[in-house]
Amino acid sequence: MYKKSKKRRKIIIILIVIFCSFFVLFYSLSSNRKLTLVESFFKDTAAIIMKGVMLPFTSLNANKDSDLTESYVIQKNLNVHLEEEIEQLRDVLDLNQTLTGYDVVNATVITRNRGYWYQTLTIDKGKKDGLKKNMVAITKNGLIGKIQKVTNYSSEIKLITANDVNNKVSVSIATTTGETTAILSGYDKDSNLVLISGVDSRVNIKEGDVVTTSGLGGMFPRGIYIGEVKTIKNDKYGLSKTLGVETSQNFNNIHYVTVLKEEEK
Amino acid sequence: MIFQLIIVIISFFLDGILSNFLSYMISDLSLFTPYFTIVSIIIIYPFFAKKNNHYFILVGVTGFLYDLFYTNLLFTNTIFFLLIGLIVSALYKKIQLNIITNFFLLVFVIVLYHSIFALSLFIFNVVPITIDNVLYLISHSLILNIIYGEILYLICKYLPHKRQLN
Repeated sequence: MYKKSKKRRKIIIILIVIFCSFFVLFYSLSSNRKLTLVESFFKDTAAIIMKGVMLPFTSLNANKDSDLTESYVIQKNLNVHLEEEIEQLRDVLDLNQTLTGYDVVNATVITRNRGYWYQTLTIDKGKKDGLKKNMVAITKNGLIGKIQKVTNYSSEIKLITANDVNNKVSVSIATTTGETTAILSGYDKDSNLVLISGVDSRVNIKEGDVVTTSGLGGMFPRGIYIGEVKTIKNDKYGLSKTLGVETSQNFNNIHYVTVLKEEEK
Repeated sequence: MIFQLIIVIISFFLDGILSNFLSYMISDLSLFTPYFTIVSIIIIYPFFAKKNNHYFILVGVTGFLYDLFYTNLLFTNTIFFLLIGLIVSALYKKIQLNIITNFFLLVFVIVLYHSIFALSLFIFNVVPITIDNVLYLISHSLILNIIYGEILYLICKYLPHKRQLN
């Protein structure tokens, strides 16, 4: 009799645990969830410990990636005179969404998200370095994602490969006949291609066309390189195309990132 | 207790280090996905055979830290780890522990962990998940974790702290 009731109690406990885990998971996964003070404190502590643990390994790889620690995206493409010229034009036109309007913060990846299917990274820079939610993260190979959560000493970057319904990026495809915009909406793990949907089927797109951010929506600045078109598929009604874009970035292998921070005026 | 703690701490940090740096060595992170922390909580159970409460406290704290360090999910892995702990404690009482049963136990727990996680994500439909995805993740995390689990088993077996179960 006693044994039976003990067994029943165990089953009830397990069922309650399962129910609680579902509830907690639902709360945790909501992307708009704000970090509480206690959570931020624990996360900062975790980030500092992880940074210490990773230090020997990151310094080993520092030489390998030495060219990545520089703020390359801007320096690579612009010389001093062009930059001055762009600054003047920006002031005249009152433009905010150009790449030269950003400072860069270089950061090291301290952990990859172990759950949630490897779609986020944690870096060792946070609010203390001026980082904020929704800032853009890039590497020398182009766009990788945006900041999703920030604590004082760390930030979480959501990768563009996340198949999250909230993870959409407005992109621009440079074709031979001009530019067309579309939405970057997913990632095909098997072919390692980023997917762009909703491209008008009348637009003439060829393999090798370059895809960059369009700047529409205000989230990402215009002109950040994403990749080149590799595959083109028409939908069954012939109304739109889905493009597979090959990025130069290996999303399994990111150790240093650069965050674009709006210039302080 | 110290010995068990050391195993869990080493496995915990190895998890983070390998998931970040394995890709340097083998060029594809997903081929060998480490879940060493889960493996360690399976292997250390026999040391707590007469102190179940201590075991569950350790598992709960490990799950909490795992969430903080690696997943950014709130208490999710704490609950999953506790659930795994409960199942492992029940299974250990039924099986005669040796290298083969340890192998099957490791496989079972890894499959179970991925299945529970996938089921939760599927229910809330935050991330589109297919059975293919789950099978892919399971198959790619088995090899490394089984090897690690068997090594840990052998270390535990031949250390002065003999297992108290069976």
